[in-house]
Amino acid sequence: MNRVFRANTLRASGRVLLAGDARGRLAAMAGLFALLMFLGLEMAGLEGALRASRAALGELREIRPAFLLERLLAGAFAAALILGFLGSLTTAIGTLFLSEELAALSTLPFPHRRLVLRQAVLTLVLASAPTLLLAAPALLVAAGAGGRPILAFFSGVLPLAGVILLAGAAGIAAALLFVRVVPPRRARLLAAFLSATGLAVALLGFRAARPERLLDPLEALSVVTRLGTAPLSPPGLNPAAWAARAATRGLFGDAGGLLPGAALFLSGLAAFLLVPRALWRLHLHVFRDARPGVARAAGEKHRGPEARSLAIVLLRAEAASLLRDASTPAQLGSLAAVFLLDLMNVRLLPGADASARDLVAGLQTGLSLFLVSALSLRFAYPSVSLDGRAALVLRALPLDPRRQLLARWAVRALPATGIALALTGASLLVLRPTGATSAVALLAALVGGLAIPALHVGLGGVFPRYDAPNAVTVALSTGGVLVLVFSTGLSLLATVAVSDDLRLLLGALLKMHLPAWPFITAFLISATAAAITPLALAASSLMTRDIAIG
Amino acid sequence: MIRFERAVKRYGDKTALADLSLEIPAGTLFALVGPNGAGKTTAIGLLTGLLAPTSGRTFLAGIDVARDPVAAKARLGFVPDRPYLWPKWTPRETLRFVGAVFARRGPELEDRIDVELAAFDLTEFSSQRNETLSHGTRQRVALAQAFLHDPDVLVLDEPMVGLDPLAQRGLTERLAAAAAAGAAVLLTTHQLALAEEIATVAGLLVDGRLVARGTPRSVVTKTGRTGTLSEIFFDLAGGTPRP
Repeated sequence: MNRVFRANTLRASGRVLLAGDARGRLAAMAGLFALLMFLGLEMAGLEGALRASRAALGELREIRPAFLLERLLAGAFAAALILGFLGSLTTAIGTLFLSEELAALSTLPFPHRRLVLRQAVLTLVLASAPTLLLAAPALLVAAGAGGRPILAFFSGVLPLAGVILLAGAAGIAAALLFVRVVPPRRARLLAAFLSATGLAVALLGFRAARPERLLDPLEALSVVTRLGTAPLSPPGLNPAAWAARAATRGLFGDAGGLLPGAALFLSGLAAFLLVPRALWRLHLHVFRDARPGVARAAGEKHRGPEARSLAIVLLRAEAASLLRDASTPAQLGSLAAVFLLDLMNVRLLPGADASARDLVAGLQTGLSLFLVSALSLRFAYPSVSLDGRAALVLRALPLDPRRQLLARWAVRALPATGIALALTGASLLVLRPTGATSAVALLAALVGGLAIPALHVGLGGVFPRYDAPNAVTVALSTGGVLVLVFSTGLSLLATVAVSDDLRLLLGALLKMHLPAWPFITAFLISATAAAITPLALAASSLMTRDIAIG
Repeated sequence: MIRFERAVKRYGDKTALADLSLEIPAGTLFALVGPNGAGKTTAIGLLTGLLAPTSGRTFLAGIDVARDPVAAKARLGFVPDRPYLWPKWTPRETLRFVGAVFARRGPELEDRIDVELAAFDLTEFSSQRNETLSHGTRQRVALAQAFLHDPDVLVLDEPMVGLDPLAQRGLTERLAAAAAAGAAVLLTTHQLALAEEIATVAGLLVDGRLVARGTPRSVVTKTGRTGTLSEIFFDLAGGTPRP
């Protein structure tokens, strides 16, 4: 854009962090803290893994570490390429066709090509953020581990940037061509569905490859030996393979790796700049002619029986809002894949060792509640924010926000509790731990399944974002990170409360006896507090707090 | 200064604007009136480049909007029906950005921003975030940014919405002054009495067709009816005022 635009944006970002209200600052700081913690943990984990593999490879002379690393990096770059493409495709439909900001900028005297380039850069930044979040710590750790850190760093950065740019260019071009034939809102829904399906298939495929084999030392050794002794085939036209080769050479101190890395980066940059240059006319044509499709609410002709009470009216309204959310089917698709993965894990659970069965029962309960957390983050936390401008109308109605919050909670807690009980129950059927462990696991699944959606609905009401364009933006806000931290903590507490073995392990580390009942009590009290307190705070906030909606 | 040359806009089977030919010379304050869905916002979309005509052409200050959109928009001050303001920016930052886009710089721009902020009674809000401003205040920011660079052409879609009577009066005077200084002004409004009062020329758009144009009085005469512009409007829009 221009210098003033950048300065304004920078000042506005600082204002959000430093000059917002106390609640906003708290959420921003908590989000920043969670991000730093994630980065720190990833770096620590990678450094540990690097040390362990160095020690192991020292013993296995026939294995060539470069072969192993290149294969590992080829997989990582291929994943970055696919995720980047799918992310750019979905994001570009929003940034290039549904952006109010773009419509405003279009009336100012900017060449349209420049506006398309600006939106393309924005798309790339948004779509590549998850990849960069994962890759940046890995790059720093890998660069620090070698003898020539600067060479190693650039040998990693250049191909990574090249892969991100190529994926972005392809995703943006695909979005432009997609919206040429399908209206933007429907195109975004289809693209999200495609992304979710792609991810779900990838997850199931990965699971079907039985990665648990690596937990068996002999099988793991066989796999590592096979991968570490067979040379790799030439990269051909595969950019991920080129990126892996370039990065591997650089990380092993070979300056020759910089050349293919730089070539990949320049190719990516050229492709990325070429897309707006070649397709801006197409964008202008489609942008001006694109009219949002009129979505008719499903089942609006079938009104059903007349509601007998306000509670039923509220429940029906909530259910309709949830089911008519355009992105719900796509996101439910990927969550269903996670559900399937968990069920696939169940048949692999240990059946003989009593101690292992007890430990896994605890872990499976925690996993079920974590899935409830993920579901709640997407479907419960944004529920208040998604009112958007309707919040102004709701505030003016003679409607107690507590009743509405309870309706929001009930509609989301019912399926969440069902999922938690189904997953935990299926695990318990296979594991057959002691009666006490089973009872505590089912109690934890029931209470957690009810409490976690309440926590999300409540905190979503305390930190509403009525201006957010969609549920995912709300979920990824700093308040969303905060609520995920809380609900994950609750899932972990459930794990420790259920598993005697885990408590024994923890007790050995802390050098103290840890009986079950304090943990069960702590879990029940925390879950109750986590359910009631945020809902009460939200009810009070929704009654009294100022609303500012654009 | 503003010209529609046989402009047509169709969405599938629906014709939003049918063969509109209209010229608004410099120094004219033109009020485009018509019922909801008549095609007013479509006409404005064609002028500002937000929509592409199915056929025909539109011109701003003699420049074909489709052929040289950047040069055409450099002469335009525009207020859409739902103005977009960057939510985290302040009114001053918004005006600074728009000023920079129109090549205004340094102390001269800052002085001009102060003038516009004062003119639209925005000085006390100049450091607040746009997202915290009321609807009317945001509308005034949008108006200030349209006037900031002394455009040759002003296009305003329902500019009075959200403004209090004092602000409406102030805007009326600014529009009259801009027209007197040689700008071509096109505004759409549902406030027919206001259109009658301030417009030098009015046009009545019904179902995508310009059914009458001329001075507000002559528009009434051309429709072959009697009464005020408001009465003619009600007559053409369906007979009786809707709630």
